[in-house]
Amino acid sequence: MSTEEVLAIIPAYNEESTIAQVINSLREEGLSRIVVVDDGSSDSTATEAARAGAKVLRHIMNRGPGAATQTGLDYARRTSAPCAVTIDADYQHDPKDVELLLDAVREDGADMVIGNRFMKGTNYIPGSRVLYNALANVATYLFSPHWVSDTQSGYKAFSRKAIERLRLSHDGFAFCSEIIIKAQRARLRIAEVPIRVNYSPETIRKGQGLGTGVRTLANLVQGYILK
Amino acid sequence: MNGLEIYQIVVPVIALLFLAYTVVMYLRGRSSAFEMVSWMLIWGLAILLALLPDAVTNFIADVFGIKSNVNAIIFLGLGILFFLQFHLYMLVRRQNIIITELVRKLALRDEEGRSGNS
Repeated sequence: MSTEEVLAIIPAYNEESTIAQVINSLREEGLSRIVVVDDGSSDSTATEAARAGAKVLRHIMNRGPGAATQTGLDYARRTSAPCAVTIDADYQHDPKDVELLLDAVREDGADMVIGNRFMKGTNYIPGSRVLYNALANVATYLFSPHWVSDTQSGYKAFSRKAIERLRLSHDGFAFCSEIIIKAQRARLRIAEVPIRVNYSPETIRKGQGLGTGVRTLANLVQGYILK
Repeated sequence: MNGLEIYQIVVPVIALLFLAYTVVMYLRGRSSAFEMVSWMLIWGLAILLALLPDAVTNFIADVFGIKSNVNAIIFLGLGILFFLQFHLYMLVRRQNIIITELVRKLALRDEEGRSGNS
């Protein structure tokens, strides 16, 4: 499987200032199949993405990152992508790390590879994010016996088997934990590789905080009880 | 009708209006027979409770084995409210799931249409 065949999925919500940069950087890394799932943005994210040459799937209204990721995975399934990579639209992930994630699928036989922001000591990560992530890791571990040290990372790679088997039901950020729990239940091989991360003020403003964390935990518990 | 309190007139009148509204909604095809009967039971209970407060609350207290009729009616009211709250919560949750499904399917269908046309 060559890098050209890999489908890059970019869930995006109001990311007009960075989306083209992410698409162009991915292309420089050899990815030619790029799909942006515009999650009901009110700005020109979809136009910018299309102008940069990506295929754009448009949610007519905002449904959350989980819903956008699931739409991307559905598209990967429909188009028989042999492998898919999800990456955040705010340019916090370095597209150069995509080969690390893909190698874990191609060479190590992993089904789901998580780009881990904490394995690289040089990354600057705000304290609130570290705390939120630690709580989310523990919450995820309560539902899945597989310990993952960066459960909330949006930079992931999926094998064909994972694309076929994973079906998400959480619309919001709880999908990050849900995907790990479901991968574990589907007996998929989960791996983590170190990635670089760049937190811009915009990324910090828009990302997950403790409030999101509490909602995520409530959603997980609710999903577990009412499944 | 001697010695009726004001609420014993106001509550049945309001309840009767809602009863009539429930029947009209059913006749216009906007609600099911089950919904009409359910609402008729609720408004009927409200009328009974207003007209015969002691008899109804003592009966409820006896049925549930609660000594005080006031406590019995409070517990019953809370129980009904929690049930309705849970019912509404499940409805909203279901609607959310349906909306997301719809939004996602539309996105994929639109893309298929564009690919087919190009």
